[in-house]
Amino acid sequence: MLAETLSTAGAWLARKPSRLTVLNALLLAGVLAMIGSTELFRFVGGVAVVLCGLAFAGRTARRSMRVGARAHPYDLVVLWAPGAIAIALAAAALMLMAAYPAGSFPHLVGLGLFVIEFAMLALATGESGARDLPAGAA
Amino acid sequence: MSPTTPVPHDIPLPMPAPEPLLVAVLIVFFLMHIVFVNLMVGGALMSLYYELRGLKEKRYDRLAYEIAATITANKSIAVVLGVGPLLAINTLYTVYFYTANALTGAFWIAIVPLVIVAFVLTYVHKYLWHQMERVRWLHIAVAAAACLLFLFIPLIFLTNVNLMLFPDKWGSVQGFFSALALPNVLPRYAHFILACPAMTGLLLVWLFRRRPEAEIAEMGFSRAELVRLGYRWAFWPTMAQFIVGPIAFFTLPHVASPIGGVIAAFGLSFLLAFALCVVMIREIRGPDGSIGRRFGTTCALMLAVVALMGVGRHLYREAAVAPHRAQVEAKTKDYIRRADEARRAAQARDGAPASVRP
Amino acid sequence: MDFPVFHLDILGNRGLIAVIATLHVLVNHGLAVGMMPLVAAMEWYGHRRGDARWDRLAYRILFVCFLITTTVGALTGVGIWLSVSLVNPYSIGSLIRVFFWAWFVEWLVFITEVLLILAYTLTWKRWSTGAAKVRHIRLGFALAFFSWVTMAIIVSILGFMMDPGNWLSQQTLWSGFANPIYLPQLAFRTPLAAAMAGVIAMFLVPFFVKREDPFRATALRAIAVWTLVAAPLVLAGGLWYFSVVPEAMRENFGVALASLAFAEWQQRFLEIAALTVIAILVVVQVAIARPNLLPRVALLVPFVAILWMTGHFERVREFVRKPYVIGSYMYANGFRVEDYPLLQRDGVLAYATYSNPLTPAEQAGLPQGLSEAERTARLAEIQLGKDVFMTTCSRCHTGHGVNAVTAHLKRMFGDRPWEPELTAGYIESMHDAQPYMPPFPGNRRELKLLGAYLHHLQTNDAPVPGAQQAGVVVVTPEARAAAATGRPPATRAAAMPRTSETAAR
Repeated sequence: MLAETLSTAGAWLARKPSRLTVLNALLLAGVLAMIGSTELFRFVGGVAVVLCGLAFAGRTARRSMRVGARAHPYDLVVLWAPGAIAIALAAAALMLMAAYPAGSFPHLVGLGLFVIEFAMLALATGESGARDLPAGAA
Repeated sequence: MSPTTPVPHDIPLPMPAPEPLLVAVLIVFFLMHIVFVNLMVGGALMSLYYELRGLKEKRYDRLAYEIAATITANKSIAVVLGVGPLLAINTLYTVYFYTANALTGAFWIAIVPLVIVAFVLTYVHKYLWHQMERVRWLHIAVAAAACLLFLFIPLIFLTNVNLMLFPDKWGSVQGFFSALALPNVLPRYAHFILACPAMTGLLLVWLFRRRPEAEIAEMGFSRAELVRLGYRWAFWPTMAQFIVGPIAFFTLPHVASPIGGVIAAFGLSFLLAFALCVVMIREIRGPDGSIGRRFGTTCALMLAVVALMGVGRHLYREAAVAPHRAQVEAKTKDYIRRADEARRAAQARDGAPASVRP
Repeated sequence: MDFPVFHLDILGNRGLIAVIATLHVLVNHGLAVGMMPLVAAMEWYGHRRGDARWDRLAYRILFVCFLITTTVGALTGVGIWLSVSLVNPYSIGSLIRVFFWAWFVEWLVFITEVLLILAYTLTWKRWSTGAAKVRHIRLGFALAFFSWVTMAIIVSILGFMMDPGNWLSQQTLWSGFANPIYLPQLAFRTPLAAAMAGVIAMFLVPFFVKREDPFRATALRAIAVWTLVAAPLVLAGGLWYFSVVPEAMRENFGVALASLAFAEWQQRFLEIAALTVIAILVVVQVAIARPNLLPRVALLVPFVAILWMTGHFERVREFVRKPYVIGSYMYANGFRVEDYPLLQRDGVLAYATYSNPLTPAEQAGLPQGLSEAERTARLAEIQLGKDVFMTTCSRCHTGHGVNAVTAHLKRMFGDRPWEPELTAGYIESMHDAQPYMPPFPGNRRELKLLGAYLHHLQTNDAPVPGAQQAGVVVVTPEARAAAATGRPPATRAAAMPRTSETAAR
């Protein structure tokens, strides 16, 4: 029974790589939240965001270069915006969590925001390896 | 003037512009505003009328749609042209206008939601005309509701501009309905309502006089038929005005100041209206081929009548408030003088600007 | 003051203005000032790329804007005026006498704007190709420009009300324009309007483009970029505005109190602004990265946040100008600063033309066992007290509704009897403790009368009617003399003017 459920879930996750990415982000945030140390959350979360952010920046920079001088600023914004916003908001979320005591409303908002933005960043990083511009951006 | 006539003091700031200029803005733009209001109200009423007739005869339904299509633009112009006169009346008749507004406040402010609803209904009526063909009764109900609103809203305005002229009534009105019951409101209202189909009739002549033959044929009418129909709408209500107009004039409350100018303006407009009717009847009775040739003359005469009405109306307003306004001015001056005196006394006593309690 | 007093005792007079004004700001910023350039840009882009889908979408969005701006937008604009002239005729009357030409020009621009939106909407289908299309696109940008100019003029009048700058000494129109809050306000409102329009447009796209249509993603992404460009400018404009406010407030009251009150407002504004910008960014991010996953409901979040922020932003206007309605010239109660020495000496009733009659419901709640003479005297006192209340307090406070005097007194004095001495003593020095409150304009006797009325309100919770309901009674010279000297009135009719004579009419 359990095995069956797990395999269905596994198949569902495997159908789109983005699902796994989101799950990983959720798990990381979940573990960090359960440990309950804001310091640790801030450190580990921060490192994760920085690493992921660097990967995103590197790949996207390469991609922008490939498009070269032909690129319209609009296309570049579309390339950069999701990841860049995610980095900024994830950082803001960490700051929010640090500024308010655990369990308070702003702290929870920060936590929620971090989960969303970390997942968005992971997704953006994953996609930044693709060869083409996102559909409709041209 | 009776001792219960209130004499308030005015706002102690000078007029921002020469008075004749403000009066010109008030009269000219108010007339333009009221013409578009006439077109809007008349259009709504006539569109409803022809839609009902269209239930039996399809071509009237098409005519109703043509009329409905004009309302939405006219109503936008009517609103925007109303703002300037509102500004001018606020400035010129501050004491009178604000007092009348406050005394009928609930209905005065209800103008905003009522007009919004009326406008939304006219949009629904126009833009969902073909989609609502299956629910005709609902479509007609929408038009009827819009008409009722359009008929009621002018009454609020009229009650206000009437109440503002009579300071001796300010102490006795209690809310909108008692202000509505003052003499002269209803005759003036009838005068206004009759002007609506008349103006819209002329709009129809203008619409169909030059329209391409193919489009006219598509509607199921001949050009002469439509033009004549427009003229008839303009003619009969204007004839009725020869009765309603004098009633409205003779029910005007007596004012102390001489009103020779008022009588002259209204008398002249009476004569011109007569000429207007003669021109229109000749158009209506004339042969199909030449109908609409005198449209320019008709419009010029109508314009002159309306302009003279506006002038007469203003002269009467001035005559009604002039003695009272002189008292208000004197009282305002006296008030400013006393305030200055008291301020100087306080300064001499405290040696400081006296904006705080001693 | 010297007009019959319109009064809403449940909603409150400022509530009426707030409802109308908020609706107007919403429509004006979101659907006109911000949206017209966006629509024109879409039309232009569609024309340049030869892509009819952009054209169709732009027209549909414009049509929605047309319907709403020409109904709710136009009428609430007039409505702000009507409501302000009901609630505070002295301030609007004064402003019109100073700003007549600004309003006149604003009106001309407004006419242009309405004619342009009529023309732009109604010629869309007819001017659809070649040179006509180019002309039509130009018309769109002209409309966008005039919408913005309308806002730019109105903002100057708003700025003036907060801080008349040099107007008090120069009394010219231009000095109002040049007041120090003007540019920051404009710099805040302009991108705010663009961002609002972006959020609203993203909300509308799914109604007009089917989910299967790849154009939906394209359109959402493009509008998201538009919004993204506006968002940081909102923040920048907000911060600029924010930095000039304390300076403006300092002119109205003391530094320490100003900074205290400001700190509270500042904290709140920062929180709301941060939340708004975050909400906008999240939506923009999803719209760019996963346009098809963007749920319509999610767009309500930034929209409500923007409304909330705008509301808080607008509140600062009241905040800054208090205790004045026109800075340093007229207090919020409608009395000019320079009239105070006169009124505090002679009393406000000495110059009041109207009395606000007590309704039968308002006369209830007197103590038991009074003789008829005592009852009459008590009612006469309460009547005069009510007139003081109506002329000096009712522009901001209600009896029992929003921002009620009774609620404030209850908070301060609880359920013990609100003896006239107690409340009068507080009101006399209230403006020292509460810098937002104007000083009491009347004399000491009127303070006592007001106290007696407030005491009566403790046992009578009938709504206080305004002139629009109960009418007014014209104060006769006899009644005025009685009110000024404090002698018992010679006749009942003089002190209690609501008599059979007026009631019968």
